[in-house]
Amino acid sequence: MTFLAPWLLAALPAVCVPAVIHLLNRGKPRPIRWAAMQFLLDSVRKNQRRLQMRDLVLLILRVLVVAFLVILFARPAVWVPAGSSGVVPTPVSGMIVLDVSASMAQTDGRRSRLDLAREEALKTLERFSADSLCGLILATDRAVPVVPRPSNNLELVHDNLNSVLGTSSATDLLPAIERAFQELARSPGAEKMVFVYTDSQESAWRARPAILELAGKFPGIALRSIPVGNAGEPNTAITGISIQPSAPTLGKPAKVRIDVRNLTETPLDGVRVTLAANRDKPQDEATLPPIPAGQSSSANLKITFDTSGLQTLRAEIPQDLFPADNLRSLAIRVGTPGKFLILAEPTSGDHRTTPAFFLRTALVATQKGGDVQVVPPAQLTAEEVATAIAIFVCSPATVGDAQWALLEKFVRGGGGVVVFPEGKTSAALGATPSTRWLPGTLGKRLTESATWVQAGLVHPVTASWADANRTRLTNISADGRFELAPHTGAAPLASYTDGVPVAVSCEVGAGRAVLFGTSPVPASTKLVLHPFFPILVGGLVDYLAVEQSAAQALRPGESFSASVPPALIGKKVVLSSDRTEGRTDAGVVAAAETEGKIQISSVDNPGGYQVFVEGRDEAAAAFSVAIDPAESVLTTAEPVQIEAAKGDAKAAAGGAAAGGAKVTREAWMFFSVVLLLLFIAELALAHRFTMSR
Amino acid sequence: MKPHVVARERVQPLFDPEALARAESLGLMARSIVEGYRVGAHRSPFQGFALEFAQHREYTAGDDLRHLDWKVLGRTDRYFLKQYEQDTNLVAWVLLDASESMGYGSTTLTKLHYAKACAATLAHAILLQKDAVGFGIFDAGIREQIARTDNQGKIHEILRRLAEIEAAGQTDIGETMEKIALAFRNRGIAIVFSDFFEDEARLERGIQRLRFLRHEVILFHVLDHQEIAFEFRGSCRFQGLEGAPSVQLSPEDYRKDYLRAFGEYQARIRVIAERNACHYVLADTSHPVAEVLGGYLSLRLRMGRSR
Repeated sequence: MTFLAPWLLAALPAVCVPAVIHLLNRGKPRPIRWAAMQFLLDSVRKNQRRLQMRDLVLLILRVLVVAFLVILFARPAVWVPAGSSGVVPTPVSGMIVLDVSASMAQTDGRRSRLDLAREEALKTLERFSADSLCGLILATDRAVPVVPRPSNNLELVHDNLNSVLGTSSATDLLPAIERAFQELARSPGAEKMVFVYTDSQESAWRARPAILELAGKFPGIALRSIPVGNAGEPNTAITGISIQPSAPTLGKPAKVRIDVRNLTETPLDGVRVTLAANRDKPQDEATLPPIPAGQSSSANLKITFDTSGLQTLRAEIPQDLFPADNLRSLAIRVGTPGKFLILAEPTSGDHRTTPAFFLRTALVATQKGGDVQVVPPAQLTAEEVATAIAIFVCSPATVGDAQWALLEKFVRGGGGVVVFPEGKTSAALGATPSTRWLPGTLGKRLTESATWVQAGLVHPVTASWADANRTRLTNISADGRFELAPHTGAAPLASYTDGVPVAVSCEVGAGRAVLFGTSPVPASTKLVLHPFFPILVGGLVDYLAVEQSAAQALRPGESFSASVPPALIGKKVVLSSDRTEGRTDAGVVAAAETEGKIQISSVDNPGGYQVFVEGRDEAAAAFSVAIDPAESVLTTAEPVQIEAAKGDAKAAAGGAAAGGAKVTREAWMFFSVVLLLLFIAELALAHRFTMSR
Repeated sequence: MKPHVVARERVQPLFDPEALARAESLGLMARSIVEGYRVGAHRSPFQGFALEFAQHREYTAGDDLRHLDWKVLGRTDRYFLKQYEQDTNLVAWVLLDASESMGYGSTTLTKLHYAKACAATLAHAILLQKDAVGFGIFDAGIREQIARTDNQGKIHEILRRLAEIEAAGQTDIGETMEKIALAFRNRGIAIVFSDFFEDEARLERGIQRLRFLRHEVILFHVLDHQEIAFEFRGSCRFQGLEGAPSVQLSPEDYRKDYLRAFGEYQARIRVIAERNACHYVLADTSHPVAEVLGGYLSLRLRMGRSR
C-alpha cells in the first residue's frame, strides 16, 4: 500500500484529539458536596466497569474515525499488476496516443482497427477518476496533438476520441510518444502514464531503441501499449507505379509499370490489375502470374493519353480488407508532340561545324521524341516557346531582351533552357538584367586548354559517370571556353582541371536552366565529338523533365504548392480527385513575388489530383498522394511496454514486461466504507449511551 | 466551604437565609403562613390536637360520676357518661435532624433551613392552639433540647435557638429516636424532620420505639430537588458528607441508576412509615413550605372530619 499524498499523514497525531478532549473534560470537574452519596456510590459500583468499557470503545472508535479520515485524505492506494486489463491508477496524469495511420483502416469485416483502438481508449478514459488529467495525441509519422496537454476536461478528450478519423499517413510512434512524455513531464500528478493504442506494425515501432531510451529520460512515466487488430491479416497492395517515358507525349502509348506485393502467407494467383487515366474507365488490364507469399510482381500496362497537360494515372487491384493500398495514383505531365528548339543564327558555311548540327544530332540520338527545330533568336515567338519541350540557346549574343524574357517565362513555367556561349558572346552573360536568372555569369575567355575532372561528379546529369572505369571523361578537353561563375544556388555539372565549371545549373521558378562555358563545336570542346555527348544531352532533357514530375508526388498529409503565371492570381482554385466525383474548392491563387502560387495544405487522402484554376480548362497543376508501402505490411510487432520506476527506469519489450509492471490504484472506496462504518458505529453507540442515561 | 454558608449565598425572598437566621424573621414567616391558613377557616387546622368530646357511653357501676352528662339525664332520665378523645393538652415533639447531610442544598436553600422553617411554622401554629411543643435537635445523638412549653411568649426563644442550629456531625436517627422516646415520656405527636439517610432497620426500630410509647409519628422526609431528580450535567466531583468518599463522574451516566436506587429508597421509607402507622410527608425543598405543610395539614383535617 502507498499514499498519493503522503505528506498529509503528518496530521495523524490528530488521533489524540478525542483522547485530549476526553481528558480535558475529565480534568475540570465541578465540585459538589453531596448528601445522598450512598445511592450514588451504589450506582457507581454497579456501572463503573460497564461505563469504562463504553468510554474505551467510544474512544477507540473516535480515534479510528480520525485516523481513517487522515488516511483517506492522504489518498491511500494499492499496487496492482498493470497487465492489459486496463487498470488505471486513479487519479492519473495520462496521455493517450492513438495510432491513426493508414493501416488502422484495416477491418476485420465489421470494424476497423481504428474503431477497436478508439473503443479501448474510451474504456480506459472511463476508468479515469474525475480528478485525473488526460491529453490526446494522434500518431502517424508525426505527432498531431489534439488535446496537447493533460487536461481535466476528460469530456473534451472523450469527444475528440469519438470524432477522430483515420489518415493515410505512415506510422512512426516515436514523435507522438516523445511528445506525450514531454507533456507529462511538465504535468503535475504522481502517476503518469502514456497509453498507446496501435495496431503495432513493425514500422510503428521502428524507433524502438529511441522509445526505450525515453524511459531513461523520464523514469517516472509508464508506457502501456494496447495492441488492437489481428496479426498477419491477408493483404495485397500496389506498392509502386511508374511510367516510361516519364513525360509521355499526347497520343503516343506509354508503358506503365505497376508493382503488386502479396502480403499474405499463401501464394496469390490471378490478381487483376487495371490502369486508367484520371477518372476514365480503365484502358488496360492484366492478370498477374502467381505471386509467392511475401513477394512482389509487376504488371506492364500501356496507356495512351488523348489530352495533354497535367494528368493522373490510376492503377487498381480488387479491394480487400485494407482498401487504402489497392489503388495507387501517379501525377504526370503529358506533353504535346512538342519540339526541341535550337536558337542559332543561320550560317552560310559548312553546317556540320555549327552548334545546331551537333545538338540536333545528339537530340535525335537520345530518342526522346519531338522534332528538333532551329530558330533564329530574333524569330522566337511565344507560340514557338509554348510548344517547346526544351530550348537550347547556341547564339546568346543575338538574343534580344524580349527573347530573354520569353525564355525566362518559359523556364519559370516549368520549361528547361540550356545556354551555350559562342565566340561573340559577351562576357557579361548572366549578369545583365535580362539574363540574371541564368545559373551563372560568364567571365573572360580562357585560351589555355583544360580537361574534365571525372572525380567527384555528383550532379544528377553526370553522377552516373563518376566511375572512371566505365566511361573515361578525362580526355574531354576544351580549348575555347569562358570562365564561369555560378550564381547562388547553382550547382556545377562538372569541372575542368583548373577548377572552372564545365556548366552550372539551377532551378528557376518551376523550371531549370543550364549554362555551359563552351560552345558545342569541336573548336571549343571535344565534348561534342565524344560518344558521351548524346548521352549528356539526353540526361539534360531527362533531368529537366524528371525533376518536375518528382515534385508532384506527395506523402499523405503533405502540402502541395505550385507556381502559376501571375495572370492567375486571385482566381479560384478547385481540386479534382481521380477517386471521387466532383471538384472541391481549394482557395484562390495567391500572389508570391512575381508569380502566382497555388497552395493546398495537408492533403491526406491518397489519389491523383488535378488542380484547376477558374477560367482554364487545362489543369494548372497535378500531384499524387500515395501511402507508404510499409503501411501495407499488416503483421504486428511486439509492442513496447515501459514500467514507471522511481529513479530506476526499467524498460522492456513484450508482454512479459507488461505482466510484471505494477500501477497504483486508489483505495479510497475501501477506506471510505470503513470510515463510514466506524462513524455509524460511533454515532449509534453514542446515541444508545445517551438514551440509556 | 460549609454547606450552610453555601446556602446563605442566594435565597428566595421568603427563605432568605439571613432572614431565617433571625428568629424574628422566622417567626414572621411562620406566622404569615399560619395566618394564611387561618384566613377563611372556621376552625384551626390544629383542632384535632385540642381536648374534644368523642362519644356518650352508658353508665356502668364504678364509673366516675364527674363525667356524667347531666343534661342528658335531665332530658331522658338515662345515665350516660361523656367521653373525650384526650384528656390532657397535646404535646408536639419536633425532632429536627441537624446532621451534616441536612446541610446540603442545590440552591442557596439547604434542607436544614427548610426543615427549620417547617418546624418553626408548626411550632407557631401549635402554640396558637394553646398546645405544647418541644424540640429535639439531633445528629448522632441529641444535640440540643428545647423543653416543652405552651407559652406563646416562648416562640421567640424557640425561633432564636432554631436559627442558631447548624448542620454538622453524622446521623444516627434510630438511636436518637429511642433516646427521645425515653426523654419525652408524655404521649404526644412526634414530628420528625430528616432526610433519613440512615440505616433503614435502625430507623424503623426508632420509629417502633416511639410508636410503642403511643406517640403519633409524622415523618417529614426533607429532600433537595436535586437529590430527587439528579439533574447534574458535565463532569462533577461529588464530595461525600458525613465521612462518605468522593467520586468524580459524569452524572448523566449514572442518573438512571441513581434515580432508580433513590426511588426504591424513598419507597422503602414510605413502606416503613405505613407499616408503623406513621404519616409520611415528602418535603421537597423546591416546593414552598406553605405548599408542603398546607398539603399535609389539609389532608390531616379531612382525616379528622371523617373520623
